[in-house]
Amino acid sequence: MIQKVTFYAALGLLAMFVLVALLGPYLIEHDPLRGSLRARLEPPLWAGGTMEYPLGTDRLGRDMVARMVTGARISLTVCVVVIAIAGSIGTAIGTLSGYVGGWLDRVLMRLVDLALSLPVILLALLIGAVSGPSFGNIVLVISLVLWSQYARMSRGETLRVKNEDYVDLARTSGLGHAAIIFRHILPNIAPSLIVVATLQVGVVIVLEASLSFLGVGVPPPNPSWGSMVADGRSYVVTAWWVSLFPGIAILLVVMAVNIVGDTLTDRINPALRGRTA
Amino acid sequence: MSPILSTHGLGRTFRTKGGPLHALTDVTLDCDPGRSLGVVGESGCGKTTLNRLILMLDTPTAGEVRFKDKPLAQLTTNERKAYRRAVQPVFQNPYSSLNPRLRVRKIIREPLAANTTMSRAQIDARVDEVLEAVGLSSRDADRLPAEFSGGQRQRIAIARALASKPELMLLDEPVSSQDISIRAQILNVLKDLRDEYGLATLFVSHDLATVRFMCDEVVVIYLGRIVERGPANVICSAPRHPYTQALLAATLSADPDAPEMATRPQGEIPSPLAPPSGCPYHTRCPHAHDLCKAQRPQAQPAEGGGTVACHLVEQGGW
Amino acid sequence: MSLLSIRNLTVRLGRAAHAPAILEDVSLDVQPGETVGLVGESGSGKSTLGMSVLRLTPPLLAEGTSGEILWNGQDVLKMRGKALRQLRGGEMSMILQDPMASLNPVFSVGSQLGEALKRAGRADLQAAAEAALAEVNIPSPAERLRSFPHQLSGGMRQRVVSAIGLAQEPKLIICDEPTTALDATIQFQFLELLRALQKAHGMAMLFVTHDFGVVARICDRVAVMYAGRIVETGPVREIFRNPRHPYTRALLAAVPSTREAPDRLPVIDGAPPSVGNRPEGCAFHPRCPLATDRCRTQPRMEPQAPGHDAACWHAKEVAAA
Repeated sequence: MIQKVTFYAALGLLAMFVLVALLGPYLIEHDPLRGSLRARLEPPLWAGGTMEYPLGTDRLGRDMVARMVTGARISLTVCVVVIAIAGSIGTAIGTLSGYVGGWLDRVLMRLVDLALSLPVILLALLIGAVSGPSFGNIVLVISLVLWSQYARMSRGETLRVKNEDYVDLARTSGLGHAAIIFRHILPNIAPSLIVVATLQVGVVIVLEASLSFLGVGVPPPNPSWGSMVADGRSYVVTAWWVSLFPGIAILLVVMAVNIVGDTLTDRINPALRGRTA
Repeated sequence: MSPILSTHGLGRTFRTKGGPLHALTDVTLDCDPGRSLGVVGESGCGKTTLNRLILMLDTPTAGEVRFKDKPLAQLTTNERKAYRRAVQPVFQNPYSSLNPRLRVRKIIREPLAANTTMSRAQIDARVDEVLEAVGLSSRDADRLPAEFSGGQRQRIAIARALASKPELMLLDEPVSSQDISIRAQILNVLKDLRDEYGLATLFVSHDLATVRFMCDEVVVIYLGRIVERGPANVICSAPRHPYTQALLAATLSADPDAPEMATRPQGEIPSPLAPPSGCPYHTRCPHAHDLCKAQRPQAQPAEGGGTVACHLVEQGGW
Repeated sequence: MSLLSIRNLTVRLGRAAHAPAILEDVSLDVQPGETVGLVGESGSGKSTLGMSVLRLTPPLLAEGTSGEILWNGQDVLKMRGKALRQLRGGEMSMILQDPMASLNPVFSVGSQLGEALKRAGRADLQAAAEAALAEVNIPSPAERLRSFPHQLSGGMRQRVVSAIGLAQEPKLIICDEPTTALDATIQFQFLELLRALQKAHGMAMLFVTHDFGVVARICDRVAVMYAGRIVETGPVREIFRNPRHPYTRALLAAVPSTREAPDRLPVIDGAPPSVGNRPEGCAFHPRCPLATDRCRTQPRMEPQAPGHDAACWHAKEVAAA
């Protein structure tokens, strides 16, 4: 019962996050990029602020609400793009690895080990230092790390499905490898991959925020929850709201994602519990 | 009349870390039109390997499988299609043999679409026809496997095999995972279909009672080798090889007053990685003597029909 | 007094009164030293009955359990903590279909057997363990004690499980399809072993199986289950010779035999109902050739012959047929 309530609360929170991200521009009054220098570091409504800036403003006088909403939009975009790229590359490599087996499997799995041992933050700092912060870089770095999860999962699942009799039957009917993979294997490993993707939303948001916090993520002046936390760092005693609100947003969304992801894991494939990141 | 399918000195050795594993050695058998051949053996005897070799899921390391007297390796593309159409398998576990994501129509359609030139409408008509032949209805074609019980699933698997009008059905323990009441239904369906379409069947099983019901002739395999072959009534009631006798004694009949058999099963099945010397059964045979340990017995014609590979039978009894 | 007496046991999927019942109003007695077979198809509830006796059902089912399971006059369903632990693996033990489910893969046979013998208060553990393995016909026991479960064959594992189960001299051993995963020749030897052990130790046995051949071989009495109820019970010979329930009769007829090859096997149409979908009244009536309107109400177990009860409105017609 309590589990159900938490699940639906988390699901509701996520729906809100997505909706806000999608409708962003229609929800906000102020420009998230340009502030008014006269309204620098305005406190939120209940700490002596005004209706004009209900969550206050940052050190350049930019509206916190506008920046949070736009930040959500950027976070979601990064999530979708990263999961699409990492998911398709990882699934392709993992499925191939499991299906073909042999030396190809060994080579690809060493590649996965390599990806898993990449120091994300160092890599990001390096790329950032070489080519400056950009949206492309952040997607590249996160994808480089995350594809391996899909590769592992889809390889394991492919090995399982490959042993099912219907795959042998398809082979005895003379079906080609591509037909077997697309008709018999992918549809049957999809549920587990969806679980991985769901759980990864949280990881992507945290990574994006961390990289932006370190200054190698979303390039300024674009708002990202991570860079907003970083911005507010020096004023945390006087203007706590600048760091606190994006921090809370990250916490809530990531928690909601994990609750939804865990519940889905239990429902779709209880055997996988605890095997995903 | 030439057999639809035959194997000649068929063998398969796997290379493993523990040395060569002789899964199947020197297996020769014929599947004649309209006849039902039983293959009996326990786990590790090579039944599965035999199946996979016939289905071209694996390639033999010795001997060959022939389709209408032509080795499988020499079939042209078109002949291979004809072979795939003519030889259709039904596996043991209907939960594994039906893709849970495909509707029944698509499952049954698969071999037709791959190996025939039938039009979509012809295929659909055929799907309805075979579903009815196995006691389901054409309405079932649009449902998913999860909506059916184990027995119904096995009927779907049979319908799929039937769809391409096969000449030989390869039945791999098709009822051993089913409940008694369902088992009888499926066995009847298989027997009816066989008689109606004049199908040949190769029926792989560990159970002598089902084999007696389904088959005309039986080969008994132990550790990858044929130890005895003969008419089903002989093999299942008065077998000559001590292993088959033990197997018969172990087939418990549903009768509390069933007479005790003279030969009782004893010992463990040896690992196929370290098969015994001489006769593979000598480690478990109550009648084994020195010759059995030293020399492998050859198959000899036996009283009652068929052949037996046993020194003792050869020498005229124990 | 019966060793085990199950009275009106009902097991529902949860506490609610209308929750679907896996077992309904099951009563069964086991006398000291006898072997009772519980036979039925999948979904008949036979395994749940075996598990219930040891209170090993999952929490949802445990909540929905009512009735009495009397062990030496004490209700197992009311036992707590220590008493229950003493019962399990002490006075009662269990052999399951998959021996790997009962053995711990990271400990050697010797240490698992030793632990059970220690609980039984045995002194010289090494000697006792060797003797225990020898008793279940395991060759070179001293060596086997050092083996790990995965190094043994299925038949050997099942023997080890029996040796562990016997360590505390149980009075009842519950076997849940212990030979289903074994090859025929191995099954035969294991059943022989069980029979010998039972005689030697004077144990009673509750043997859950779907195989009438196994029942005929080792049981003294048998209870036939269908859709969560016992529909017929009696001495083995009586049930096989004069079945009074149409289900028992049809099921026995549907088993192929090595002795003859009929053109067709007599069948029961349809499939056993699932737990949530059981028909009103006698659950077998939609598949029964003798069914009449009367069968829409649940028949009671009525005596047919000494010790032989059946729950069927048409039992007399079955006898006459």
